[in-house]
Amino acid sequence: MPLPAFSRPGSLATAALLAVLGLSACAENIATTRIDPHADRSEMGMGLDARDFEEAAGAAVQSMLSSGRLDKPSGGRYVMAISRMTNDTMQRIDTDQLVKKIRVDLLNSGKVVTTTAVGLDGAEDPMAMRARELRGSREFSQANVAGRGRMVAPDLSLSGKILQRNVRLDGGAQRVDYYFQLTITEIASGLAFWENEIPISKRGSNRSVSW
Amino acid sequence: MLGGAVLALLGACAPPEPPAPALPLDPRVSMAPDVLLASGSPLVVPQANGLQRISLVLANPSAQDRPVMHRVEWFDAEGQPWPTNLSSPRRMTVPRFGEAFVTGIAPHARAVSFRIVIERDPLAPGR
Repeated sequence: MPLPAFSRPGSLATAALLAVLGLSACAENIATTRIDPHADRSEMGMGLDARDFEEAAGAAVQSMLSSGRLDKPSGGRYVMAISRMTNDTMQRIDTDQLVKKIRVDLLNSGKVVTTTAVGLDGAEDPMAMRARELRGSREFSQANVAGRGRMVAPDLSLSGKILQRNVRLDGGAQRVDYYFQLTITEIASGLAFWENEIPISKRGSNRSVSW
Repeated sequence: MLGGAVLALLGACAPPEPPAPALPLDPRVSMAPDVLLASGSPLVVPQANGLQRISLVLANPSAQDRPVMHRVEWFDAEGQPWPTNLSSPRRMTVPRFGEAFVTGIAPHARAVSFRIVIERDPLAPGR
């Protein structure tokens, strides 16, 4: 008994091929474009993007400057070291995306300067110590080799944590709350000089991922 | 013809739409026409450390929440823009029949003038 037309292997393969071609023809062709960070209208995802770090850093610096705690009584600038910055989210984040923005704004404010010679895991820029190995070297003019006792120890330390909490909502939605917790510690006393928590919350489909 | 007359009469009886809030007259506030919020002049408070603190109240007279994006742009005495993350856009919702505040602080003592830009949030639901 001959097979029905629709069950013959050849016709099934042809139908599958036509279906794939049809679907690919309907697929959206997205061209690559540049995004202007000053006018970013692109869609938002459930994860953290550059806009979130900018907003968090801006809010943190605004809080720091508004508090008045960074106004050094004797005038001049505080020296700040970067301490532990923990990523407690499900995403691979370089916390420098946040810290660098804060450092730049604090430097430009004239209130705080960051030391790169002291860090939790060693100097951020080891060149300051390396260059001192040239002392006594006859190959180098000692006139511009850094002298002893010239490095400045930090007065303050910046530390923090980025947290993430996911909550499933009704109707196939989910909510993700990010918390940027930051602390500036006065090193001499060990006391928290300034603290703040900046929340960023997003709501989206359960099918979106935040990792 | 009779139908047109009926429609004309019904249109004449329809209640007028409430007027849109007037656009702010302060040149330091730039509000997009589709924001539909009311605001006054920004409050400027110089701090002892030389930095200016500003505050602007936005009022929503409508029955719907208004999600907006706002940013504060800073300029020096010569009118040159002062780039800073403090000028990064921020999202805010002005609640229905309520108020919300746009606040800012100058990034440096030499940032002496500013402009507050408010526009509708392009990523808000129902856009």
